[in-house]
Amino acid sequence: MIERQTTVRFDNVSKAFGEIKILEDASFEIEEGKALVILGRSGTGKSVTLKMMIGLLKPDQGKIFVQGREINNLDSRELSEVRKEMGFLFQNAALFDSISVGENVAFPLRRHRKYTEEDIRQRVSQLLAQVSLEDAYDKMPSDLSGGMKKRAAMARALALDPPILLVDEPSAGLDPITSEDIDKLLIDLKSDHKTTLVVVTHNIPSARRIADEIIVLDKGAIIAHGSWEDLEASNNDIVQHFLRSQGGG
Amino acid sequence: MMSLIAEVFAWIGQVAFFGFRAFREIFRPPFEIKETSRQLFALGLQSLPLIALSGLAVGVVMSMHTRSSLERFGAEALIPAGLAIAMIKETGPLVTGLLVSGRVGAGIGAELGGMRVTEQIDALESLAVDSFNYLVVTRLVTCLIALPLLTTVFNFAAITGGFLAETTISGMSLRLYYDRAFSSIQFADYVPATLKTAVFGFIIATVSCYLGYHARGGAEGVGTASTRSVVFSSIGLIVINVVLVRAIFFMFP
Repeated sequence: MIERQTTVRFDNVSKAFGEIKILEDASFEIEEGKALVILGRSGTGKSVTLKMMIGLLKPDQGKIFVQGREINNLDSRELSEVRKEMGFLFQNAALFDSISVGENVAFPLRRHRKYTEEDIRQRVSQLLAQVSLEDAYDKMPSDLSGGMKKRAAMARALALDPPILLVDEPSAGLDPITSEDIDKLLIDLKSDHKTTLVVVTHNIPSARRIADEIIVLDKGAIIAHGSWEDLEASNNDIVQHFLRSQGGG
Repeated sequence: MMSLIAEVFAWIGQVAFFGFRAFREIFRPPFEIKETSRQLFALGLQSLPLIALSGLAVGVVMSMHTRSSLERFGAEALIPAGLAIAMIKETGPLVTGLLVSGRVGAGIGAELGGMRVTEQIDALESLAVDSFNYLVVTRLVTCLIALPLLTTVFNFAAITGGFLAETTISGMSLRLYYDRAFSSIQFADYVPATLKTAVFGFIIATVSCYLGYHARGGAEGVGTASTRSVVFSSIGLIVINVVLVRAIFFMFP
């Protein structure tokens, strides 16, 4: 029986690429309006976990539930309906490089909302302003720096006001001030819009600001799960190493 | 050796399955009309200068070769008809297919490959867009429509090129040239030969989309997808042409 409050749930999920086990028997759940931060070294399955959450990858074993629906066996149309409820910020932004930044942000609105051109323009401008890219509407993605691309991708991910936002490395490539601004935006989304956040990061100060709950992954296994205080009380060396890094402790 | 042959056949099976799945999806909503129109412009309309210029050049050269052979028998009057038959029935469709395979096949392979390795295809999916329908089906429809039209343009340009060569050498008038060229061509010569290029379009789109859509490994993977798109679709097109020519002879004896 799934609780109504649970937005995303992993039940004994495993994933491997060939011989390499990426995630093994992972179980956790995220309550509506909460922020879960996934920490772990590179290659420990953090991004794979996010991609499985939105159905871009299928687990080898176990079940994944999003808003009460098991997504493993949905066909592409049913999966599309689930995805409309989710935003995804990719690690490398993944902006469509053949269209302008404004058109990138407008893309989901044109596909899934019956807005007029004026409404779309207004909404896109508002979203770009939210990520401090007011002047980037007509620029091409190739004209932006890595950090700007990331912020533009954030604006695109927020276009449909998704109740669930999956964010892969929001601080990577950003200066500390912009990184804090992005964190503040995420925190505002959580508090004002009750958006459920799942954030993958290496940035401990950022994780501290955003997280209600934290998962630490190592070699495909969840080695710690709980609040910041729970993690600080953990005896696990890897967890302590992580918390002490980057001024996190 | 046997395992290599088995791998090749397995690969051909996967590509064929991919192509037939795309063909089936053409008739299922949502219909990506805007994206298909964009592709028709990018892949079809923008190929026009290449096709028209190549057709013109091939026509001039073929006309000169034909003349050198026919004038030995005093049969120069047959040059327009000979050129038109050769172009419409075989040379036009095949050369157009190969030209489009080079220009469009490489472009599709590189574009989709680039989108795959930079996660843009995943981004499309995450935005609740069926990437297969949006990227593959639209390009397949474009190639199915564009190839017969481009072939017609190529044929016309080639016959016009033949006229330019002939009028320069013999001073033949435009009217006489076209009269002689088209008097020997029947509708049944034009339609099957031109429509078979839709099959070429199917092969070019299927092979290029498959390789681009499944590209791996960064810039090198994109390059490989692009090169293989041209090579494999050209081979496929030449091989299937033999079968189609035989089928056309059988159906239109």
